[in-house]
Amino acid sequence: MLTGPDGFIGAVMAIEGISDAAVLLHGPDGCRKNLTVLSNKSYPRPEPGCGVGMPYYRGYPRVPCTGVLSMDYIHGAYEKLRDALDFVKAKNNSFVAVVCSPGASLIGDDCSKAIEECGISDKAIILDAHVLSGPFSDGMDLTIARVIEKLSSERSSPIEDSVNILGLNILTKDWRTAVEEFRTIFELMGLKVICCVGAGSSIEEMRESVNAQYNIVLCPEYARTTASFYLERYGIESISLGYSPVGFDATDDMIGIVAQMTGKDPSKAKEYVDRFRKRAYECMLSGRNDVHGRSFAIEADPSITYPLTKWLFESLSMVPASVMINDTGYEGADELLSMFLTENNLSGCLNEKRRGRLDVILCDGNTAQLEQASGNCRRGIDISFPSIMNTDFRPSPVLGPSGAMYILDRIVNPML
Amino acid sequence: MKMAIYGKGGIGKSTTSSNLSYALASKGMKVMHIGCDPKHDSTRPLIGGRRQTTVLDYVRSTPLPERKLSDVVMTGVMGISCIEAGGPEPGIGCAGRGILTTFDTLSRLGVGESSSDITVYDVLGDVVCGGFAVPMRSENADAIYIVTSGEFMSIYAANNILRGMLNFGSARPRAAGIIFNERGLDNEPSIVERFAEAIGIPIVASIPRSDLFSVAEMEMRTVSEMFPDSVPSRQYSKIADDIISLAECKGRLYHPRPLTDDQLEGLLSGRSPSKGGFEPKRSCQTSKQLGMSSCASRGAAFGAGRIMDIPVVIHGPRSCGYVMCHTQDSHYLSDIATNPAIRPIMRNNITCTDMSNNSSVFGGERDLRRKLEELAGKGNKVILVITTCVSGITGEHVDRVAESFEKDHKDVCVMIIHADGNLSGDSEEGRIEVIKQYIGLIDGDAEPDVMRVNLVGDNFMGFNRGLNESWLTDILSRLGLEMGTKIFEDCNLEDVVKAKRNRINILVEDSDTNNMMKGLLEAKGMKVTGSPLPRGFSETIEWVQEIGGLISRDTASLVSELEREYKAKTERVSGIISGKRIDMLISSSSRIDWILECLTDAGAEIGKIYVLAMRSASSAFHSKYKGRFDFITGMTIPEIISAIRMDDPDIVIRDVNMSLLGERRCANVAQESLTHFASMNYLDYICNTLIANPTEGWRSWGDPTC
Repeated sequence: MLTGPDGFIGAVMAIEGISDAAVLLHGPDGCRKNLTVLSNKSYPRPEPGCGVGMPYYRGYPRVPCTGVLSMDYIHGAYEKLRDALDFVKAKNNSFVAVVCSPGASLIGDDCSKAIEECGISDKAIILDAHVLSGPFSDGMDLTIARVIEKLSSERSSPIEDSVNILGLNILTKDWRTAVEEFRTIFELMGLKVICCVGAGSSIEEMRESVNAQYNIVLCPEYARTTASFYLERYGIESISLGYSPVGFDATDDMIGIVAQMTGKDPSKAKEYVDRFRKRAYECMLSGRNDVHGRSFAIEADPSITYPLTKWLFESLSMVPASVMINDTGYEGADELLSMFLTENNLSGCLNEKRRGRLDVILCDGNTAQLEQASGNCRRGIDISFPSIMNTDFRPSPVLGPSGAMYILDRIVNPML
Repeated sequence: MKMAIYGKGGIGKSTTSSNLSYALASKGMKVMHIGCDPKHDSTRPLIGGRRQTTVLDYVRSTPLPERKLSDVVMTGVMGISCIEAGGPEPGIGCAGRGILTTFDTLSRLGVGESSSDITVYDVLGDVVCGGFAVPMRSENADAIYIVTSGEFMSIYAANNILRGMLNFGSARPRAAGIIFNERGLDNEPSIVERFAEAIGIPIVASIPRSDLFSVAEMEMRTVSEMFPDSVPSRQYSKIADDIISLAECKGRLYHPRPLTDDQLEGLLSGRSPSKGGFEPKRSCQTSKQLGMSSCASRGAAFGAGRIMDIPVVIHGPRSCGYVMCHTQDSHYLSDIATNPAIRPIMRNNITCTDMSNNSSVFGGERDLRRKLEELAGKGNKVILVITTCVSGITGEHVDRVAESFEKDHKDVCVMIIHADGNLSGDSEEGRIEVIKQYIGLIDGDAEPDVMRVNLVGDNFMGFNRGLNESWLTDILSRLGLEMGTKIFEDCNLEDVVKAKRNRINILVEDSDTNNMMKGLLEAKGMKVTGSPLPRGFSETIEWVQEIGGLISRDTASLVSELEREYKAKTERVSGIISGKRIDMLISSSSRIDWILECLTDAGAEIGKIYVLAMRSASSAFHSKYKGRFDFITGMTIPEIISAIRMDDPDIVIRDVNMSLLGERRCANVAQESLTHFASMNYLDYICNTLIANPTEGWRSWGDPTC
């Protein structure tokens, strides 16, 4: 895929990641289609009746849309917006975000007035696409920060030994497993997870999140603004490696830094990771695997790219041929990656386009499938969205110990 | 308190607002002065003519996380905080968008939280679009002053501004008064007074013409600063007192009562309307109107991506580019998953200019030019550009970019599809425009000399389902023919250029768009045969005979072979299908004759066929079996559901996703429909559906109480 998503799509999907929030898209139906499919694919929610026969929903339960038509660009579409908001309001969501599509944002309809007239000013925000033309991750991050800001919760007293998880979202590969697994890991350390902000969390959980002692950031590029907001407004400090816990080693590092910052005992959490590591070891012994010296290419967010490259190089003795980093505006992990590659005489592969046939390509699901089908690699591995053709029945995250097992399963089996 | 100064261009708003800011500051108020005119000269007399970074220049050059309010604020005389919005070059980009961006940026930078007592917005002339009306929105202006003279155009503009206020009407009054800038015309005060009376808003001050303004302008200062005892300065001081009263909630604001056009004409011809009678218009397109499902740009990208080595540039925001890439990948993956005849390759030919908000304010022609350079640098000789609603609304001169580019790159051809999102129509219209351009690439001088078959279709979505292509290739090979170019699908530029060399051209299906393609190809000397690709058994027999005739080949033994294969299948499945009652629920675009044929050949009993009307005019329902079977149209979905319950058939065949049918045994209308193999395959599918457990157990997994 030559063109990735931008902040507009990030903003919509950030709201779709909140269990009881809704987006009203102010724009043409054409802009809606992909978002509806993506939302339903990433976070399906059974909704009886699911919008059949309802104006602005038109048979689909998620991301209702004002359906701006050509003449609306000339005369404005305020009436539609106002009317659509009434239908959205009737669904009793805890929170509503009006997102203007890039085209509709040029009309200049007064969204604030529409929200005010609809009587939902206390629980609605406007996200105008013009501020969201930045990277996808920024769109998500800014939107989540706006939601927390709008909730204006009061921090009563911090709940002892409690944390929030930041940086996950519903487009994180198998986000459900990642959320569940990191909850388990932190609970094994004696930390209660109040809210996994933006990854299936409810508005109530997000309100409560301001009472956490710490935020633990799993994917920094998705939570820079959010983490800063928590710190400035509520004094909540963040714990972050600067990259994501991908592979056993980075997961150990994550547990280590959390233990260090919170003063908690990491041993049970490490035992949990060790169980996966032991099984992986037995699997590696059980077959004639042939990964040593095999080539791989990665195209992903910086916080994933660095630990994944390092892990595959150090643990499987695989060699990177191409390492491409998505543009997220986050440079923390870029520097680590660059240093790591230079130290290992691999700097030539950084931002080098994929060429020839490789053994493994790790990238978004659609591209991974196409690369494999086109014979450009032995295995294309889905590590990020869009992966619209793939449904994860088995745990298939990229983060954490289950993520390590998923990646090993995908890499090692075609090499046997 | 936030106040906005409106009025016709050139009427003296900037002079008025800068003098008011000065007057307010001299009375001890902390003032922020924001100039919203793209020519950015409002703050000039307050900052002594120094150059100021405008908000839009700042936004253009500074990434979001690095922006600070202090970078765009300049402190002027009397400590006034001065800001200029700026704007695009005249004739480029979208100034309205610029205003929207300025206000949003200022809000994010914390203008509302600054320590100013009063913010003065100097707003540009007419309220021509939503963007220009942003300063008027209730959250941006607590009070609005209108500057006017007695000239018709000035009164006209003032009335328009009031109409704009009505459109942005809020419960609380916001009109503060009229500032009368005298021009020295005959009867001028009388005209303005009658206007003020009619609209119900007082004249708060009359500013006489004075040479002092020119003197002050030369010195890049305000009259209020240079000549504090002059008549104009005293008037500004008076207005400043009013504003302070308003800020202290002591003054009065008014609801605007603008005039109708007739009333306005009457006023200027000496009549005095009692009061303004203008009512704001409401949108005529009601909320219930259905929008279109997809835009012309998306349709164009879908069609354009099919020639795999022509790069397609989406001239628009990155989200558009992403959606189009993603759609192409998803369709292609879906095709690969079901159509074994496809030899997958990475297409990756859709790219995007990534128009940002800056591009929509300042114009994105440079982004486009850069992208064209990049693609030409990779050796591409043909490039297709598709415009989106953003580039369409901002009026990008894409043709000019292409012309200038082609001048500099004589060997590169840039084709443009002016799809403009949904401004020019829906998906189908975008696709048609691409087809027209692509047909132009075919070499019309080539001679048909190869025994190959070109397939002609506006989309190959149905064709790519399952085994259609494999089955067709089988029949073609039995006729001694090879597959040629799919016009346009899964092909490259060379295939297209040489397509005329293939002797036979066949429509994939009979549709308006495909017949349009037929006309365009025939104009190029490419004869398209009469019958489209055959669906099901009997069409296949007729088609084989027709193609056989075309290539002078005896098809009798092939026909017998196909008949034998088909008959054997219907006999084998009749034990399960025979006597079973089948209802159908289909959309009007469905072609089901081949299904009805094979089901009845296998002994099924066809019950009711419910047809749901599609919106598209090209989706009128056709069947050769009208009269033989019971086709029912015009029923609503709930009525159909109820009728099916009453009828209680053994199976419902549908192409409308109808979860409301509940646990009734259902089968889909197959998209694998080509040749007699489709009939045979479909009969197996119906047999399996009849044998399968009608209740899908997984549906209860979501409910732990089950």
